Amino acid sequence: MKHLRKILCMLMAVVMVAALTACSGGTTGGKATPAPGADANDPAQTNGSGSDASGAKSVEVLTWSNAATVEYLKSIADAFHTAYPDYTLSVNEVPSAEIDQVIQTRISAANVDIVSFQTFSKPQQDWNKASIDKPAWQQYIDEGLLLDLTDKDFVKNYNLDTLMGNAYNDRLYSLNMGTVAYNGLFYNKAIFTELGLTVPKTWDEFIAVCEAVKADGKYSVLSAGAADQWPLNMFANAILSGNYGDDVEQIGMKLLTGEMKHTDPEIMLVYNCMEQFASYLEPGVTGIAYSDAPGRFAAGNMAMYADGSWSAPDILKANPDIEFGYFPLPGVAARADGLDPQYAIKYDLSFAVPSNAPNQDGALMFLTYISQKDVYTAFLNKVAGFSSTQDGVTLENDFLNSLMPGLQKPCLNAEMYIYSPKGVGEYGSGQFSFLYLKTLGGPLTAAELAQKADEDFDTARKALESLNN
Amino acid sequence: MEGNAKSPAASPMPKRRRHIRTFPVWVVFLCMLPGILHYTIFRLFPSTMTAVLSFTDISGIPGSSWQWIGWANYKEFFILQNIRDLKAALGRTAIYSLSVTLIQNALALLMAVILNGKFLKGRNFARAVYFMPVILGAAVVSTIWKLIFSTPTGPIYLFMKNVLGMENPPAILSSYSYAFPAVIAAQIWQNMGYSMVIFLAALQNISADLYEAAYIDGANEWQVFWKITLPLIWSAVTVNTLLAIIGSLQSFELIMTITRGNFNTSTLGMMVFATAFGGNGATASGGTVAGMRQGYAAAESMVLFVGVLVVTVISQAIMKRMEADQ
Repeated sequence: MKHLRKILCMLMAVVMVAALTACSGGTTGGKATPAPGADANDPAQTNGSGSDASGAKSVEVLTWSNAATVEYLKSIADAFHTAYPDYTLSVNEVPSAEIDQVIQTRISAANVDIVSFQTFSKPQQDWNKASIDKPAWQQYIDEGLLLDLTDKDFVKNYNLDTLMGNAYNDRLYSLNMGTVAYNGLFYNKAIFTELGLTVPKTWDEFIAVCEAVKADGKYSVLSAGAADQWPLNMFANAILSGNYGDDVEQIGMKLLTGEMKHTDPEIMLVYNCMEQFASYLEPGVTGIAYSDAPGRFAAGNMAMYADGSWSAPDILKANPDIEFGYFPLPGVAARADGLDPQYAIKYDLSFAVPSNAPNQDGALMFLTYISQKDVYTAFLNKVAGFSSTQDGVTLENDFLNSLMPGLQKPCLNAEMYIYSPKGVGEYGSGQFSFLYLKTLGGPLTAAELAQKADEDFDTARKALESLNN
Repeated sequence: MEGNAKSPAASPMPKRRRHIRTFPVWVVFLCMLPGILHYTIFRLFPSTMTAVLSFTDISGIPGSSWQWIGWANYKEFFILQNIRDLKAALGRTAIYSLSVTLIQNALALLMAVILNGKFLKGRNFARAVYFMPVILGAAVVSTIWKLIFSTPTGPIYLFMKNVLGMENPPAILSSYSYAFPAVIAAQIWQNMGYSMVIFLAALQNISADLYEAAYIDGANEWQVFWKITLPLIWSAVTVNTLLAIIGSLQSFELIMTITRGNFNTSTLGMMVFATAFGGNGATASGGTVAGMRQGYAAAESMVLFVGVLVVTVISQAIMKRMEADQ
C-alpha cells in the first residue's frame, strides 16, 4: 500500500509536469498567455467574418504594417461598400515580423478572407528537397489552402508575364499589386548638393561618397533599420544583385550543393563589400528598429539610408519638406552592357484568398474592385513605392517616375535563390549572417566569417547525408 | 478569552463532522467533476497528444495529410542540428532558468521581508507597485524594455554615453554579449512580484511571539532571519523555486517579443514556438524556419518536458532534503 501510494504520487507528479510543459504558454508564476498571433481586439477572431447590422458581410483583409498601404485600403472601404453593397471591408494590420505567424493562425482558424504575401521564394524542388524545408506559401498551396486565381476575370487587367513570375506550377495563387526595388539607397539631395556629391555609378564612387560625408563630419553617412536584421540581409542580396545580376540563381544553387564555397572569390567579394558597407553605418545601427529608421533619415542629418523603394511615403510622411532621391547600390565593376546600375526588383504586396475563407465571394469581389484601372492607379500613386503590374498605368508620382532609368533591365531578386541547408550552424544561416562582422559590432572579420560559414555548411551537409542514409 | 469560554461539549464541531461523514460519495465526485474535466480536456489530453504527435510529420495546417515517422523528429533534433549551436542553446536554456530562479527569488524574498515590516509607511502601495509587472502582458513588458534599451534614444544608451562617457555604447538588445542578460532581466522584473506575494503570505503566517522570544534571548536580525524566518517559510521557497524553474524553462514570450531569438537569445522554449509557428530562433543556431512543423515542434516539446521533469525532480529532492535539515 505504501509503495502503491508512492508510485501514484510519482505518476501524478509526472502527469502534472507534462501538462504544465506541453500546455503552458510559458509562465513564471502562473499567468495566462494569449495564443500566438491572436489579436484580442480583432472582432473577426471571435465572430469570423461576420455581418454588420445591414446584413453586409465583412471581407477580412490581413496585411503587414505599411502605413501607406493600410491607409489606402482603409480609405477605399466606403467606396468598396458602395460598389458592392453586400460587402464591407475590414483591414487587419499586423507588424511585418509577425505576418507569417498570423497568416498561419488565421488560416487555421478559417477567419480571414484575404492574406498578404510577398515573393513566393525558395520553393522546395527536386534538386533541393533533401536540403531545405518547404516554405509556408508552398505548403499552403500544396495542401489546397490557397485559391487558384489564374482564370479569374480580374487577372486579365494585369500584365500576365509579370504576374506569372510569382506563379507556382504555372498557376497563379496570389494577385501581385506591384513590384518594388529593394537594392537602393535613399539620399538627401540637399546634403549631396552642399558637399558637391553626385550619385555613384560604381562601388569605388560609392565609397568615395561615403568618405566625403565622413570627412565633412557634419552628417551621418549611412543608416538602416538593422535591429530587425532583414534590412541587412536585404543589402547582402543587393550586393549580390549589383555584382552578379541574374547569375545569382546559379550561385545560390552552387552554394547549397557545395560546388561553390563562401571563401571562393565570388562570394568573398560580397563579404568584403558588406564589411566595407557596414563600416559606414551609423554607430549603434544594430539597435535601430526598422520602424524608426525612415524617420531618422527624414530628420535631415543623414546623407544616405539603405531601404527599399516602398519606404518613400514613410519618409515623406515624417518630413514632407525633405528632398530625396534613390539610386541602386552599384557593383564593383561597371555593367558590361554600358547601362547605369540597375535595380533588383521583387514582388511586394500580393493578395491571396484562402480556400477556407468564410467570405470567399466577398474576397473575389474585393480583388475585382481593386483591379479596376482607376482604383489600382490611385493605389499606386498613394502607396508611392510600387511599380505597376498592370499595363498602361500612368503614374503621377515623381519618385516612382524617377526610378525608371534603373528599371531598364531589372535583375532577379537574389533573396529568392540564396539557400541555407537544414540544420546549418549560426554562421551559415540566413543571408550570410553579417551581424557577426566586426564592423557591425560582432566578433569576426569577413574572411573569418566566410570560413566559419563554409564549416557550418559542410557540417550540415554531412548531417543531412547521415540522416538521409 | 473567547476560546476559553467555549467548552468542548458546547462546540458545534462534532455535529459538522457527522454531517460530512454522511455526505454521499457521488456528490463529492460530482463537485470534483468540473475540475477533473477541465484538467483532462485542457491539460492531460493535449499533453498526451503532444507526445503522440511527436512521432508524426503533422504540419498544423487544417485538413492536411500526415503520417507516422517514428523517431525521425528526434533524430533530426539531435543529429541534424549543428551540435555546437545545440549545446549553446541548451546551455542558454539552463543559464536562463538558473539565473531567473536564483535572482528572481532572492530579490522577491528581500522585497517581501522589507515590505513585511509593520511600520513601513506606504507598504501596501509599494506591494502593489512591485506586483504590477505580473499583470502586464509580454507585449507590454517587451515594449517597456525595448524603450529602456533602445538605441540611440533610450535612457540606458544615453546613460552610457553621457554619464559613463562611453564614445560608442553598445546597442544592448542587438548585441551578442548583452541581449541575453537583458532578456533575463526583463523576465525577472516581470515575475518578481509574483514570487514576492507568495513569500509575503508565508511571512505573515509566522507568529510574532517567536520573534519576540528570539529577541529576548539576544538574537540579532541576521540570526532571526536564518533560524526563524527562513525555516518557517521554506515551503514557500520550495514552491517559488519550482514555479520559477518550470516557468523559465518553458518561457519564450519575452524572448520572442524582445529579440525574436536573434543575437544568441533563443532557448528551447523559443525553439518550440518558432518551429511550430515560424520565424527566427527556430533552430539552435537562431535560424529562421517557415514553421508549420508541429510534429517536430511536439518532439522539441517532449525534449523540453524531459528536461523540465529531470530538473524538477532533482530540485524537489534537494529542496526536501534542505527542508529536513532546517
